[in-house]
Amino acid sequence: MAADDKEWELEEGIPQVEDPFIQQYLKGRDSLILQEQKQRHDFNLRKALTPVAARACKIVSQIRDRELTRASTPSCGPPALDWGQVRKTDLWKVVQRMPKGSLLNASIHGLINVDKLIGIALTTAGLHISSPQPLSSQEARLKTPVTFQYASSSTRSVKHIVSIWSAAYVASELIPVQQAVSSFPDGGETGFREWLKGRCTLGDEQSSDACRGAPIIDSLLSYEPILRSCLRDVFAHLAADGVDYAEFRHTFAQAYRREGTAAPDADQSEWCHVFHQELRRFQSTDEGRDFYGARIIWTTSRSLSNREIVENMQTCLFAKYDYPEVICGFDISGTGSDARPLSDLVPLLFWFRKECMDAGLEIPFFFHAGESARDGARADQDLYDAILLGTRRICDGSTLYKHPLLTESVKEKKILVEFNPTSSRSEHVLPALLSRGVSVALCGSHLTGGFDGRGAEGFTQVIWRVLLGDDDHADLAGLAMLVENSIRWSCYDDQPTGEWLSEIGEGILGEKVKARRLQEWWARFEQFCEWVTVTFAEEGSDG
Amino acid sequence: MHLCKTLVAALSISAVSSAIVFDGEPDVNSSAVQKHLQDRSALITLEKRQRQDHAFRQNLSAVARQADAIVDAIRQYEIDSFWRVPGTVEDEDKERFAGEMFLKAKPLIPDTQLWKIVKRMPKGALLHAHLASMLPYEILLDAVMKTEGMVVTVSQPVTNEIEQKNATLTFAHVNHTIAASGPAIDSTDYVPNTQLPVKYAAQSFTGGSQAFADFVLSKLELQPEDSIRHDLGVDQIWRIFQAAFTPADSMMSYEPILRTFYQQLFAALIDDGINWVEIRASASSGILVHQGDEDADPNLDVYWQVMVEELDKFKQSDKGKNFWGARVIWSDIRSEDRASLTSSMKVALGRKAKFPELISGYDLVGQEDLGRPLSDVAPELVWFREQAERLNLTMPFFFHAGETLGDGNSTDYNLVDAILFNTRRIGHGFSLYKHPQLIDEVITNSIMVEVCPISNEVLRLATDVLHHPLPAMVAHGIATAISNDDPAMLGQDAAGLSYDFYQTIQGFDNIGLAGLGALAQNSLRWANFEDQSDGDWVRDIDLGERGTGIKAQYMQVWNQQWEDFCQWIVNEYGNEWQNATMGMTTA
Repeated sequence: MAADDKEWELEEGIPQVEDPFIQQYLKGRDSLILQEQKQRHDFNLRKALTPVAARACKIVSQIRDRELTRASTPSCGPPALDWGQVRKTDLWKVVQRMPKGSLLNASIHGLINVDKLIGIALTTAGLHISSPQPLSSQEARLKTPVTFQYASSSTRSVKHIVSIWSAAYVASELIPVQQAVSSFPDGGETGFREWLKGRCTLGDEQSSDACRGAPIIDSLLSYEPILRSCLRDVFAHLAADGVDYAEFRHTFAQAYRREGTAAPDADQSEWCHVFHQELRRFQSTDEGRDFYGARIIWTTSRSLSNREIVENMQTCLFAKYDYPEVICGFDISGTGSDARPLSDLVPLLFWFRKECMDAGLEIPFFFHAGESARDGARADQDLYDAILLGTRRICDGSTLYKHPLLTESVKEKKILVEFNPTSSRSEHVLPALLSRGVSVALCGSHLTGGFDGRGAEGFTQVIWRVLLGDDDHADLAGLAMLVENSIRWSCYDDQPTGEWLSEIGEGILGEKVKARRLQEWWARFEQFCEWVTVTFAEEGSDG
Repeated sequence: MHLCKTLVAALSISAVSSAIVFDGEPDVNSSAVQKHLQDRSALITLEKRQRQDHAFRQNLSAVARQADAIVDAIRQYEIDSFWRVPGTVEDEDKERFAGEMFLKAKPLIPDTQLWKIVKRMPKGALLHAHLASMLPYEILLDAVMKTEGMVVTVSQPVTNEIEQKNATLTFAHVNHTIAASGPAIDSTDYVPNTQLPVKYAAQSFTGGSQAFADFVLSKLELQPEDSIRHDLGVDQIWRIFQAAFTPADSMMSYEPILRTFYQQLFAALIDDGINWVEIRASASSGILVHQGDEDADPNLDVYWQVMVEELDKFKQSDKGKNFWGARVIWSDIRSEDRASLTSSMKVALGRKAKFPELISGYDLVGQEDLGRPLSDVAPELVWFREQAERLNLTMPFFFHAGETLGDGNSTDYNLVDAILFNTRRIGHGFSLYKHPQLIDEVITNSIMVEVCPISNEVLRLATDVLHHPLPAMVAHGIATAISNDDPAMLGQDAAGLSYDFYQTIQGFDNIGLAGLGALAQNSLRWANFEDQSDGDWVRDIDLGERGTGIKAQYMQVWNQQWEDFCQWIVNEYGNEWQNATMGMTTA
């Protein structure tokens, strides 16, 4: 301040910052802020940071502030993002390298590379395509359902088959994929690949319609050789993204077929078998050495009828019985106007729980609830049921912040919120949960990476966004808390509720597998912090 | 039967599964399920007790309960039958849903029954609105066109859309003759900043008066295509928004037009069911141009004198006999430096001394994110408070705070300062729901939040009403009332609260007619009808309609308006929607 300004202020009687009562005011202000911060989810963690971690945290915040003020960094919204530019930033490098713990809401769809999937579909022997209507017009090709399935070689010779692209196609007739490719009317094989990719990724931008491509991918994934090949990629993508354990929500919507077998299996146990085998195979490779594992949260669509849901639950029970290490929980998901509320499904869920108990199977609930404003009352009301039904986690709880009592309840019952900052435009909901001390872990979903093969960095993108977002509290220390939570709430082994809760409570001080993994993660995090302080040493010296 | 079939099929595949034997079928009437459903409704009831509108709901009359149920049924019917329209792959923009972006929904809203009900509702007080942007500009422009001597200037020729967007437009009154000739403002020959009579400027504009009006209005109102571009962020829309104040202020500086403005504004508020208004405004230098003049009168009082005269005139008119009045919350620009802010504060205190009934409090306005944080302004605010006390003037604070997406940034922490400075209400408080401790403070100190749902959406804090934090505030017990902020610029394009009320009831199942009623009643409970000490202010808020002062009187009047309104709903819609009220006791 210029000297004459100062003089003028004193003359006017304007209080100065150093005046006792202004100081008093500022002290009151600090204490009010501190009082609030004591409730924050990461209050204790921040006090316990090692010197290296504290330094790394400061450096990362400086990098963030520097990159935020740079005009080229997009402020919000996916349309404007140029990931190519983002990847060149320092913040991206930091996030990419950060050990990310567990991904608790993984999706096989989200982690596969669609181009590669199509390549596999084109070279898999015996794969057929079918549709309930001829795909003879542009419009039909854009909208009519399409299914892939394995079948034994057709009895008719190839040239007698009516093309699926012609009006004469008989509904639901199986056409060898090769035949469909070579006769594709809009540009042969290249055109076919483009068309199929379009169908698989249709609705990718609009989260509400994001599942329109899902049935096609599901049909491909229900054939053993394709499933195996995709799972290998999926595990590799996760490990490359810095994730060491994942729980996949998977909807078993299509009958499974073993390699070279036209008749479908009656259940999904063999699917689980393959999942288990591929996981073990990956863990025996170099890149998979540190990968702790992956499990499946059996997910049933909430749009099905009671009978269909019960049948689906039975299949789940069979799969759990046969491959207990694969199935770790149960969920109901799906959006849209025909989606039923949990309260409507309560009888079925109680029945399921009783069947589990009778059969001695541990299949806890990991419900979707309160996931988006768009689904309004249904999703919001599901929060009450999910909590009362004893869910262990909630995905993604976007509307929880509107419910003071439920927020307390979630804290008391040690329910984790799997928050997906990119699925809805609700990024600002996260700070409201964290400031109240709700336990949260970050999650992606099949919507985040879309179906376009960004899988290998999907989780990095999610964390980068949170770090760069509007939330000034979401720094490296805050993220560390979110990652620690992801490990504490991982369902590594089947446990009865009491054991589950006590292990979460003990955290790193426990004696079982969870405590060990927390210790390992903190060691890795410390190394990572050291790397940050060395790599960006200059950054630290500025502040 | 079916179960066994599945089991047999499964057995043939995986023999191990045979150990599972199913028992019974899901049953809604089983005791465990019934227990869950009881627990569920108990939990919901328990949570709702914490809601700020709980007491209001508990005290609803039988008629109001019926009306609430009827409106609930109408709303649900319209969500399903009017709003829910799926788009198609070819035409995704056909998609329609309840609670969608306001500017997309706006043309459709008047076709609904819910709109007719909301329009008619008694809305109490409008507590958060900025003077220059309270009345649709068609009305002001019409007055400008009809007023002798009004001229327009443009900072550059506007021959295409880009130039139109870049140009600055101002109006003025001149007391000498200006030739109605020369290049039109949209001709390349137009010399920047040349004054043209507005009538001539309109006639010579390509496309004539209508095209001219469209251009002028485009400088004053945010365009739908701008407000839905959430990817461009908050700062970008604020630049467009703030630029609109230049032409708006210039229209309103000429006394005859300003007088017309007030009459039209108050009439429009009464028509919308509003009885009381508190307006954010300021004039720290002489801005009023008297009839027949062209220079502003340096006298700092005349601007407010006009407002008092017009207010009195309106209250004496037939239309205005139920209008309780208007007060002004003096609002300085938060980006001003210490010297100019202090000098504005002096003007404010001077006007308060001259117009004690009109001037009611103090606030700082302008984009909060880019202006000075309240903690930085603390020395001036402490000084201001001391001066007011010394002069025996009651100038409480009604601060804007937390109008931001940030968490932990300086705008967010304005909430802390606002609370510590004993603000009586908080403007927007958009980020408050993230602060458990501050929520407690706000509730304990009876601070109300002035919520502006459409403004927050259009200025890109929430993509649509469904993403607005209002439900979180109500659920946590924070007192709120609905306001419209800048309806002439932000797309409501109507004076009054109907669109903001509509969005609120449409967006949230937990609000309903009763919740909307509670919000309207809150607006009166927290209205600053007269100068009061902090103690009296809080006492009257606590007492509400049971008090003895003017606030209690007005709340009693509103309570009667509300009962009449609910009765009208029952009479009008009761037959058609009788299923909704089945089993309810009649009044």
